[in-house]
Amino acid sequence: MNELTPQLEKKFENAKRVVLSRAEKDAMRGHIESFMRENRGGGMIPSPWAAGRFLVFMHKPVALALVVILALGGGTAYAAESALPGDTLYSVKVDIVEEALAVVTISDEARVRWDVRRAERRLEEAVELTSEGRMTDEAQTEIEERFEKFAEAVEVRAKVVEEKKGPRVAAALLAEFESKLRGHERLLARADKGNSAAARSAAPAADEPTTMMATMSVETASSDSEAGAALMFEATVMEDDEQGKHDDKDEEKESQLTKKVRARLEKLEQVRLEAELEVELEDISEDIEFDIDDEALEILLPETGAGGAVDMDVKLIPSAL
Amino acid sequence: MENMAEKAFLEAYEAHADALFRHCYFKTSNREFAKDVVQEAFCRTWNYMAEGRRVENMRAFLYRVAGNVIIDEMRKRKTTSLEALEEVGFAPVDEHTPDGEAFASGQEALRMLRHVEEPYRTMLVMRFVEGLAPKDIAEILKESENVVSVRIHRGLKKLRTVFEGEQKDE
Repeated sequence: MNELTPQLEKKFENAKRVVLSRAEKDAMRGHIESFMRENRGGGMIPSPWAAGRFLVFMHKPVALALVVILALGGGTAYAAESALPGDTLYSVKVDIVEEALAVVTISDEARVRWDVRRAERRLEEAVELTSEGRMTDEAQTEIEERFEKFAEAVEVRAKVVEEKKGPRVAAALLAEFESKLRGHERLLARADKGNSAAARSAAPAADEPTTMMATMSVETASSDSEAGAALMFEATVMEDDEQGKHDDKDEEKESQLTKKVRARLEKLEQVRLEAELEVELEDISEDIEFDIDDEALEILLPETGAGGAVDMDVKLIPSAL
Repeated sequence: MENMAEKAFLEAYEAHADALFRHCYFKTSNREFAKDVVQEAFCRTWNYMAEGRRVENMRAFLYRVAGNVIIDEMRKRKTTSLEALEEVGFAPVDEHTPDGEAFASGQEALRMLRHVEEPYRTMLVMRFVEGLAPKDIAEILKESENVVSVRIHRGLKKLRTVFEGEQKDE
C-alpha cells in the first residue's frame, strides 16, 4: 500500500544519487573541523577530580605544598597564619597554605570569593605592618604585587563565572569585592596617615601639616619687622621645602598601595557596571524573545484559546486583590 | 579524550553528511542552501556535545538540528515559504554533480515533490529518497510510527495525483 508505483520508483531511484561531491564534502569538513577547534567546550574534558588524575592535575609546587603541610602537621600552617611580609613563615602562609586552599576550591564562584579574600588579606597585612611601623619598601612591594595578582584573578575569574552562570552572579561577586575594597582603602589611608603623624613626632598631629606650617609662618612674618619677615620667610621656605620632602615621601608611601587600590576600584567599577548592563540586557531580551520550537508549537496551538484564557484569569486575580 | 570525541564526530560527519545533505536539498530545493544547512547542523551539534551533553542517536539528532536550522534560516531570510526560496535559487547542473543524468532525474523527483506540501513532502523524501523505514522516520521526527505511516500514505496519494496529472499533460 505505502509503496511507489514502478514509474515513480524509477524517478526516485535517481534522486537517491544526489550527494555532495568529494570536494564539497572535504571543504565542508575543513570548515567543521576548524569550528570544532575553536569551540572546544569543557564537557569533553574529563574531570580533573576523576580518580588518579588528582595529583597529576595539580601544579607541582602545589602538590608539594600539600605534602609539606601534611608532613609538618597543622601546627606550622597555623603559626604561619599570622605571619606578615618579612616573616619567615609568610611564604608558607601565602604560597603554600592559601594556595593549597585555592586548589581544593572547586566551584568558580567559591574560587572568586577566595581570591577576593586573598586580596583582602594582603591589604590587612599592609594595615597591620603600617600601624606597627614595620612597613618596609620590600614588604610594600611584595604586598602590592600580590594584591594586584589576586585582584586581577578576581576579574578574570568573574568573567568565567559570567559565562557559566550568567552576568547576574558575576555582577554580585564584583560588587561584593568592590565594597570590601572600599572599606580596606579607608583603613589603609587611615593607617598611613596615623603612621606618618607618629613618625614625625616634632610635627603637630594634624591632618594637613603643610598648611599648618604655612599658616604659622605667615603669622610670624606679619608680626615682625620687614627684615625679620624676609629672614623668616627664607627660613619658612627652607622649612617648607624640608616639610615638602617629608610630605612627598609620605604621599608616596601612602599612595603606592592605596593608589593601586584606588585604581583597581575604578577599573572594578567599570567591569561591574558592564556586568550589570549585561544583566539588564538579558532581562530585556527575555521579555521580547519568544523562542518556541516547532514541537512545542504543535502541541500548544490547538489549545491556545482555552489555555490563554485560563492563564489570563490566574494572572488577573492577584493584581485585582 | 578530546581527540577521541573529535574523531568520533568526524566519523559521524563522513557517515551522515551525504544523507543529511540530500534530505536538506529535497526539503529546500537549493543546493547551496542545503550545504550551508548541513554545515551549520554539524556545528550546532558539536556545540551541543561540547557543552557536555550526550547525543543518543546521532543521525536522528542531526536531522532534527538540520530541520531547526532550515526554520531559523527561513525566518532570517524573511521568506515565508519554501516556495519563495525555490523562486530565488535553483542550482544548475554543475561539474560537482557526479552524475549529470541522475541529477537531472533527481530534479524530476524534486519537481514533483514541490507539489506536495509539508509535512508530507519530508515524509516522502525520507521514505523514498533516503530509504528510511517508517520506524526510523518516527524516531527522527519524534512522532509515532502510526502518524508517520499515515503521512506517507497521504503524501503518496498526493504524489500520484501530481504524477498522473503530468502524464495526462504530456
